[in-house]
Amino acid sequence: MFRSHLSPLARHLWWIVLAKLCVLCVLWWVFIRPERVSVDDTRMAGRLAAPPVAVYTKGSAHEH
Amino acid sequence: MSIDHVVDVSRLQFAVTALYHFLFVPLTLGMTWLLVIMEATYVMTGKQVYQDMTRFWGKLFGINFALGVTTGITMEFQFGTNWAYYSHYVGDIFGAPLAIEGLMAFFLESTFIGLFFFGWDRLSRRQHLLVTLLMAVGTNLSALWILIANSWMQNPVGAEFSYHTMRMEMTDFWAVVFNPDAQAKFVHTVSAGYVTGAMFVLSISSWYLLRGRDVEFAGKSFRIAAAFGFASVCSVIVLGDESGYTVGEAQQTKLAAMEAMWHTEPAPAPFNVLAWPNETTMQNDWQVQIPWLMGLIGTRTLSQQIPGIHDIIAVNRARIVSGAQAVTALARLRQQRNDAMALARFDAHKADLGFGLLLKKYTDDVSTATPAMIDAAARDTIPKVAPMFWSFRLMVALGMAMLVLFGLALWASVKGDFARRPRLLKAALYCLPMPWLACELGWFVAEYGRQPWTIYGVLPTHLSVSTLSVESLYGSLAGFIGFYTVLLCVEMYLMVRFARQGPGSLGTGHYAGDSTQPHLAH
Repeated sequence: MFRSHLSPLARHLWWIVLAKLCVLCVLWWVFIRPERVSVDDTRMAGRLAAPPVAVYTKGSAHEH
Repeated sequence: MSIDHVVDVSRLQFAVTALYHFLFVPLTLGMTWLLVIMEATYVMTGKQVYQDMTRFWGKLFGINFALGVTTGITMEFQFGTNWAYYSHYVGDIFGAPLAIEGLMAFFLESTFIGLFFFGWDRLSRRQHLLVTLLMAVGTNLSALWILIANSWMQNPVGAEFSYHTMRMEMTDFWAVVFNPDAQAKFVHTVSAGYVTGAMFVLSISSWYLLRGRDVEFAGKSFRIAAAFGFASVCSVIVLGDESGYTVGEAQQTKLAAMEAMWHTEPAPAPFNVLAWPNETTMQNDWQVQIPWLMGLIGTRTLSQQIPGIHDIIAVNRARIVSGAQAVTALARLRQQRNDAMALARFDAHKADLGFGLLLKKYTDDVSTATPAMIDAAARDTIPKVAPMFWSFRLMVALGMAMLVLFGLALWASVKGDFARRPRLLKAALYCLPMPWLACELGWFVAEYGRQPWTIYGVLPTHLSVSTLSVESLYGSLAGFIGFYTVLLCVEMYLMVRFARQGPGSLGTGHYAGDSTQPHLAH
């Protein structure tokens, strides 16, 4: 009933926005939802500060 | 699939969605203020033609908004999937302005856009003008918070790394909000949007004038667009200079790459108008220079030097060596949180932690990095020069061309003879794509120039990316491209169709090709 008061352009836009939301949901469902990646401090440390290294001494290894 | 390939495809996907999203944004930014000007003129003069202008250009604005809304959501999808490590690392800071944008600005914008279209017969003239004004304010506030978030990626202030949570934590909210990079980028970006809106109205009005239809309507639209466009393009150029200055302060590598400055020149440095950067020999094969100009633009002094790429690489190499110690100390701290020696070493080198992380591209254990690896990582800190150099110059050239066009259009408007200048009208029509091209080039320079970082000097891009499957990445990339291509075709179809109909589509009976259809949302 609400849409019957709209102009043809407004009806076009109404359907376009609806179709967009549907396509976005499909994209999210197919590609995004299954690929959810959980990152916590341990995983982050594993990426940035791994592998664990032995205790170093002053002036070792780094001074290239 | 190698991690490099995952990084490249993830970057491509984000670039495609971001560049596509920004086809809609600048027109929305610019059109809202043009609608405010048109409607304010209607309220002040009471002339019906100004209300018709607000309604007609508002209809085209509505098409753009309806097609553009939600195109930014796909980028937020990607933060969680393709860039999960980035999201963990900087979510505390990056998430805050995005949340404020969503809660405050977007709802303000959306609410008043709804009232703009559905409130014509329900609100008084002044009330509707207030709605249009608040719609423009809301749209610009959206841009402000997004640009605060983006600028923090370029100049990460007001935050500190915690080895307990392995993430950046906000220490000063107001430093993030008043980041000098954000202030300069905001005014530069919204001004570019105003130019886009003005060019849109100017071009379509010129088309009506060339065809001799709806001359009064098109003429008044042309005048408003010419004046607004000229003021805006002057702002873009002045504020672009300010934006470039803040880049020189916070991101020396980006400035050096933009200007193809391989060597530190004596102050004040010359400006390379044209050059042929050679990445292999790390110098320009040839160049055309203006003495002093770069020094004046980049430092606003006659005595301060601008570091060249070779010197920047040398400084960054030292920071990588220092940062390697921070990474090694961090690994130790994660094992033994109360190791005082590791903590002291980490505190001494944590300012260079991001630079040490660049070595992760070449070795898992940065304490064993060879001089060759360190050299390669130092070289990585400079984005490719030629794309930066030429993109920046093309953007500036387009800006200058638009300055000339809007200047001529304003001059003809003042003299009142623009309708008798077909060459000017044709130029205005054919220049329609210019502001979009300039905006996209500007974003390319800003984002490509930040490489190899997602957060400049803090988090390298290759460590920000999630480990996804190749099928998923290419599948979602194809899905986004297909989705966006269809949307773009629909946008172009509707825009061309309703622009061709002209103000006659309002059904007021005053214009050529008048239809009997009721106008939008009535």
